[in-house]
Amino acid sequence: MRQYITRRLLEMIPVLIGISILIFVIFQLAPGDAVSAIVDPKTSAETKAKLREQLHLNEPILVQYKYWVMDILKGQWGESFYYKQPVSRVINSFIWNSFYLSLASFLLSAILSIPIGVLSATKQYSKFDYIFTIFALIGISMPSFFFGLLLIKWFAVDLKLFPVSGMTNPGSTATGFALFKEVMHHMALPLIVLTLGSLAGLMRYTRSSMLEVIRQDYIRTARAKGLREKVVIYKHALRNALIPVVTIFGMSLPGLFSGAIITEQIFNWPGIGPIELQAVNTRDYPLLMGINMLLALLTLLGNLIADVTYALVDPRIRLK
Amino acid sequence: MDELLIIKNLKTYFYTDEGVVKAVDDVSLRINRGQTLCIVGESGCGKSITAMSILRLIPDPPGKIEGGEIIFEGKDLLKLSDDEVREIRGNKISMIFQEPMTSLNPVFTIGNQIIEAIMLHQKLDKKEATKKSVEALKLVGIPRAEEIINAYPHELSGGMRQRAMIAMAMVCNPTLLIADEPTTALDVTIQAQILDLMRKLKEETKTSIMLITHDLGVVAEMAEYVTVMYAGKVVEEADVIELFKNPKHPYTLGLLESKPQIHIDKEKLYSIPGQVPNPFNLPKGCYFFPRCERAMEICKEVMPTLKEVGNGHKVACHLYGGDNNE
Repeated sequence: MRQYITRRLLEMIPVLIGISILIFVIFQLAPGDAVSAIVDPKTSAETKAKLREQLHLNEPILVQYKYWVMDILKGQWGESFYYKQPVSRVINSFIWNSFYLSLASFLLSAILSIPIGVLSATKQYSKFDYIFTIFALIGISMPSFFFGLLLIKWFAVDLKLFPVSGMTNPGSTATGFALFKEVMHHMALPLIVLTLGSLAGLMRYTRSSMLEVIRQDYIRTARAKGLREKVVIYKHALRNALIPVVTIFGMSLPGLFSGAIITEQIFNWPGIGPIELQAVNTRDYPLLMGINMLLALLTLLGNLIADVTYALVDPRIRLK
Repeated sequence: MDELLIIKNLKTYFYTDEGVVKAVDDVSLRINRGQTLCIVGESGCGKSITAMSILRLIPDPPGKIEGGEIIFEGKDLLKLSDDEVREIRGNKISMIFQEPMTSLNPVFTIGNQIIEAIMLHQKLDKKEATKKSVEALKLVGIPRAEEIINAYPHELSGGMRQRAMIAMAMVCNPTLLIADEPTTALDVTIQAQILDLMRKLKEETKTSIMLITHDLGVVAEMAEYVTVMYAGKVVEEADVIELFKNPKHPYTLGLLESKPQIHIDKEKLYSIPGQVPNPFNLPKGCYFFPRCERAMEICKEVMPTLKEVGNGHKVACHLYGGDNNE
């Protein structure tokens, strides 16, 4: 197993190089260059030319790539044009806010989707199943910008149960548990929006996986042994039904860090999502490339984690 | 005779979108203590459904036991509560299935799956249950039982898995073992070993066996009493020697005819003409009538009933029993 993981990690190197080339080339193809993005349009042509020189923008593309890669390897992801700060610092100051929100939503949807999926499958075509099927349809089709605004209107503006936006109260100095409580209070509404979206899919996935498993011969064997229905379902069936679901969990790792652009924007959550959007609008290429590289790395790690967990839960899979 | 299990007028129907399938339609049979009963018939004749009905393992929906009685050791299984039936399953009546490849749970070890049954029914602790599982695996002829107990099903061959299934079924000393085509998915040499094993276990434990098969060779080797089913109904039943010596029902005759025989050189193997009737559209009279070579006018209109024709031999056919046709 250790050997397998080491090999997979080594294999990631060429893949990452390939991804870095792709990202670099794509951003080179994008219209406008960094100079037009960072300077005032009124700046003289001379100053612009000087700046181009400074940023190596006149060099051939391969040389520019070399500069970029060398910097990345040194841990310098460049400086954000917009924030005038190192990219790593910009990412670091926003990404964790996204992570907390996404992680909470991920855990909540996992905890809820599995039992609901199992019940929907074991009571297929029952009222319970229909109610949650409709719920899932709503969850999948409801646009988050609309649902988010709806929640703000109902629970923040009308009922005043939750704050309208942000992560903490303006000017808050709370620390420790008080801060945690304050953040949770702010998180509630965006959490509901994000969870509704992912819960629906996971639930349906668990349901169909479970439906397939409970028709298997070994479930009949388990019943023929005299096991209680609960043991049959939650031990014999669920263990098998979760194998594909676990893979999905592993692959959702990059999603935990990439931020939810729309939801975070609507609730003014200081996450990485709106920063990404802003970086696109302001042609903040170093920041965009940094975020993309990070997500590429996380995607590869997520796949590795999915494969490893797959082998852990299914004895038929042996990693070599 | 000491009767262990009596099935009376069992009716198991399936309610599908296309209509009602009478998978088991008014079937009666009995098994004595220590006896091996074989149920023979083509695929879809209701033999497996009969067996599953005994342990109430029919998936509902779409299946439903609509009537009849299943008396096991004096109690009607169909009237017991779910909990009471569960106590009988895997304990007094256990079952082995056709597909050893898919009948064991792939994510649990063999030992885990056997221990589970022991701990459930015999209230032993884990250590004793483990010891007992090893013994059970040894009893069914699995070498290196101490190691196999920690193996996962996919690490064993089909024959070994079926042995493990038998070990699992026998570990609580059932009084009735239902074996639903236990050898169909295995190759011929393994088939013989598994049948030998079942016979040996039966002699040692005095367990009654209800063996479901479509293979008359298996019947000849294992059975003491035989029930032939066709389209959800019993068409003939008799002692095994009587049945092979003196088959009555044209369907049974056809089955025997279509069995390959080593010393007779035939160009082509006989097969019963026609096909199993569509369960949604059964003929009005005898279900076998459209395929029967000796069909008469009456067969088209009237369903024959099962009647004794001597020697404990019963047959449902208008060719026998003459004027007492109803």
